[in-house]
Amino acid sequence: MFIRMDFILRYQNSVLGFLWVFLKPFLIFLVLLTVFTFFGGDIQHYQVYLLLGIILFQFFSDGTTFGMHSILNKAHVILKIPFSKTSVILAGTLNALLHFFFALLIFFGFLFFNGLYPSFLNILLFLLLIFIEFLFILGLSFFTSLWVISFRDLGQIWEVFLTALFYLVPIFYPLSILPEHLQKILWFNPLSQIIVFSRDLLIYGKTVPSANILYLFIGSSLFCFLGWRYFQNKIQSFTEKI
Amino acid sequence: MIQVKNISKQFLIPHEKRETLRENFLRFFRPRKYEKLQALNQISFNVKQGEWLGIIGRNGSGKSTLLKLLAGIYAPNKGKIHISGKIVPLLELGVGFHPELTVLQNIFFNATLLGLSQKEIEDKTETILDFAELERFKDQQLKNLSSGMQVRLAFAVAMQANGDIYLLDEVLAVGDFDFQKKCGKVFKDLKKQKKTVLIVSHNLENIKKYCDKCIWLENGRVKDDNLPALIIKKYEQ
Repeated sequence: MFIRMDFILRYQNSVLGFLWVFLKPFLIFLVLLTVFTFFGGDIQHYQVYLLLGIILFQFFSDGTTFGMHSILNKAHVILKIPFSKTSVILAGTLNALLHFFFALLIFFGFLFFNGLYPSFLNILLFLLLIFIEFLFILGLSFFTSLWVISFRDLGQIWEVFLTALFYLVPIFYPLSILPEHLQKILWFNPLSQIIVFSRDLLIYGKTVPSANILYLFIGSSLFCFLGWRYFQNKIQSFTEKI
Repeated sequence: MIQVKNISKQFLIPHEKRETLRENFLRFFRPRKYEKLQALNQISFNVKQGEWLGIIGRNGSGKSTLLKLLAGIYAPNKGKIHISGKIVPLLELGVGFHPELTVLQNIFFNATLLGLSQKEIEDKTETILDFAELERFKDQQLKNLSSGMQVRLAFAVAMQANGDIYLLDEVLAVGDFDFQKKCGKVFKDLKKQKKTVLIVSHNLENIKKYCDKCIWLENGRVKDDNLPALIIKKYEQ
């Protein structure tokens, strides 16, 4: 319900309306493609390689930002009627997921256009990776949505962080061009793993060791659960600070 | 049925505004000083099913805070609250109303917040539009309606919320004469249905008219707990 409202709100008066959801990632992709093609080098199918990374990152960026501000945005409602605040966080993240799915449609269009047809199993695994990313974003949002109440500039800090993150995740370059020790550090970021694995699954038709995916799944589920518990515990006291 | 036992609520209001990381960082070594605001202090009262309770007091005496505690928006620092039955908090009419959305969309959103299911909302939409006399405007954006129409709409939705206990926080102060008449009729219905209602109001006539009991709050304490006519006499002095 919140999702519908957010969605309607955001594009109510825009002339392009519904279309923007498709266009935004696509336009970003065009700009980045033009600029970064020369990083491509030996990478096969650089266009889809880049596009996949961008939309997965955009999902993370949108999801965490919406999630973080979701409570404050609904402050006027929260202070007047009791209802499940968890649904507010969930709505923010689902909103980002919706955007992601539209962008994904475009991606698959490009994929098939390039003659790449990932196997059914790989697509399933990719969906699992999306779910993992979703849990991760949700978990983060549970924490940040409360912390931003105490520290209102967290939003701006996060913006800067996301900008930096864009370069710390192998979106437009392959992990291999970095020295070994840096590779190891960047690999700690689940987002890097998700993007690299997704590319392997969908573009290159490789198999990904299921142990890795399992670790990711367990890690993000645990993180999301911890976030949820923290949220349940602290939401009452934070409500008074809104 | 509501049982309130010795509840207290305190707010800590910081002297310094420290809302950002930067401010926290800069003032890390300076201790924070807080103003303790005891909004409610050892409040106890009971309301039986079907009774109407009026809550009066000066501004800042803790009336709204009390309703918020009952509604579940805040939790008391001390004491216990026992409530049996579904609570419909009407602390503000049209909670969640958004001017850019249409009347129908706003009805849906507001009614959902008040606890109605999708099916119930679908069934009741016509009644709501009828009551608010806004059938013609159902697809209009809310911002195109006058504030009086918005209040009518909000009230219409609120009255469809099927609750056992209603909390009204000075929501009837707005509205023209026709609206007040409609409110009167709705109140009569609520009484017939044996609903429990708590009203915070400065309109002492209304309180005398509708309420069985009355509480007078001052500085977070119950100054008096009696029949409306008696308390109001004292209050007016």
